[in-house]
Amino acid sequence: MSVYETRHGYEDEKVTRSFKNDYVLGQVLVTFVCNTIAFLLIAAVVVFYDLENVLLAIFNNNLISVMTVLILAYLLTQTAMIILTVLVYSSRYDRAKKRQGRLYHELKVMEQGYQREDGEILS
Amino acid sequence: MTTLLEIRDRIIQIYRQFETPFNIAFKFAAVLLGLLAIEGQIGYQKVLTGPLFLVLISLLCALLPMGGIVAVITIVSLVQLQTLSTEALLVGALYLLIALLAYFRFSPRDLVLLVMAPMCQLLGIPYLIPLLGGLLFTPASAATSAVAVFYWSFISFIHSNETSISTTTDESGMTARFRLIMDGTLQNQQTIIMIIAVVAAAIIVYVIRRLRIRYAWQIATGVGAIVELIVVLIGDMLYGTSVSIGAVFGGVIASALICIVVTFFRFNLDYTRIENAQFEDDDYYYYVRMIPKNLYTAPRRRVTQISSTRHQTQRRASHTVQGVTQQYDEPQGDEGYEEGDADDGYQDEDQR
Repeated sequence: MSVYETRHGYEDEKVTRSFKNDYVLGQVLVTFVCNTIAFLLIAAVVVFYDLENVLLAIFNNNLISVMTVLILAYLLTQTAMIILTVLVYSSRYDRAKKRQGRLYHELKVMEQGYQREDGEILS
Repeated sequence: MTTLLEIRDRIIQIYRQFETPFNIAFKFAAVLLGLLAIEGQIGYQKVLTGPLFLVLISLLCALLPMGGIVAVITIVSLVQLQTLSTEALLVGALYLLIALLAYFRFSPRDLVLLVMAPMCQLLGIPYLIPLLGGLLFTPASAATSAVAVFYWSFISFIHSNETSISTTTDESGMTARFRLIMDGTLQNQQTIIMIIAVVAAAIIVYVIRRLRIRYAWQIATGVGAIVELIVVLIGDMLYGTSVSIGAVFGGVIASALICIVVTFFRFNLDYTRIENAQFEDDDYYYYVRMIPKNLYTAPRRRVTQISSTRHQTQRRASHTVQGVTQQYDEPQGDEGYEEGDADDGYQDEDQR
């Protein structure tokens, strides 16, 4: 129990403090923001890298197709990252809950042992 | 085999006794060697390549968690890139930001692999990272291995093309230098092949070592090493990446041997004594297959003391202390126990 508390106890406490849906939803929101920033960065780099073709597309009234491609790419990456986040953090929550459940079970057994000892001493 | 198990047991005991200093020493060595490898490639800032700085940074990192070490190494790399050119710094910072948002955001547990990666590159065993990741961590180690490979290929590219990238040779052409770095890192076929090799190896090693078969870890190590070798060699044949075949073979074999040693310490089972059992409790009925671990059993010591029979009456008493059975004569009266008697007649059970 002491080894568990040293290694996982603090992190598991933070994770299981809230309900599973709340925890996963919070992580999904963080992923959404991070992914948006990353996508904007990559888009800026691509535009800077291929500035000539981007300007040509704008001047040839092809902006709508460019924007459509960008939006589709953004939605695809967001969906993929959100699915990955849900899978990863659901799994982490379940494992943390399981470890905590084992700890509480062992604490309960220890407490029952102490109560039995107290009962024997008193009698 | 008993000797090996005894040595293993001793090493584990010593490690447990001095766990904190060993961890600190390991982090110091990994960071020092890693920084030496990185400074060997992009050591443009002379102050940062000095031995005093390297030792100080390594000492500092030895006290930090793995996330802190990765941050320090990244900052050192960015400072070196900034010395070379603004474009190199921008591209490096961009890659770092994307890695931060897409990869570090999930707080990976295997950052020790990332810290070890430059050290393994210096020692010629970069193939060790995905094998260790698959054995000791999760399939997400594939992402860690890919990040490590990409980082090393980025700084290697900077090192190979430092003349073209440096702003001292040409003040204009920022876009051209930017595109050169982006093309060189993203369209580098050797990098792509290495990333495919490490990702495939990490995933395959993890899948095989989780199987319920005999010698799963050893088979996983072997298959992972072969997969890495095959992918690198096929990539070399297809794209002519001019990889040194001898170095690849040597690196893969050395990595596999290290993994075998890790398996010996971490997951050492005796498959010749498998037992099957069935039992039930209130909720479930269990079918259990038990494979005993190879453990070293210390020989039982029997201490026999031979003392003089000058006492009139004697009592024989014996008790067992920590597996050692002692038989000794307790003297009656004023005669005391003489010093040195405890060592007389000491005999190890194995020596009889």
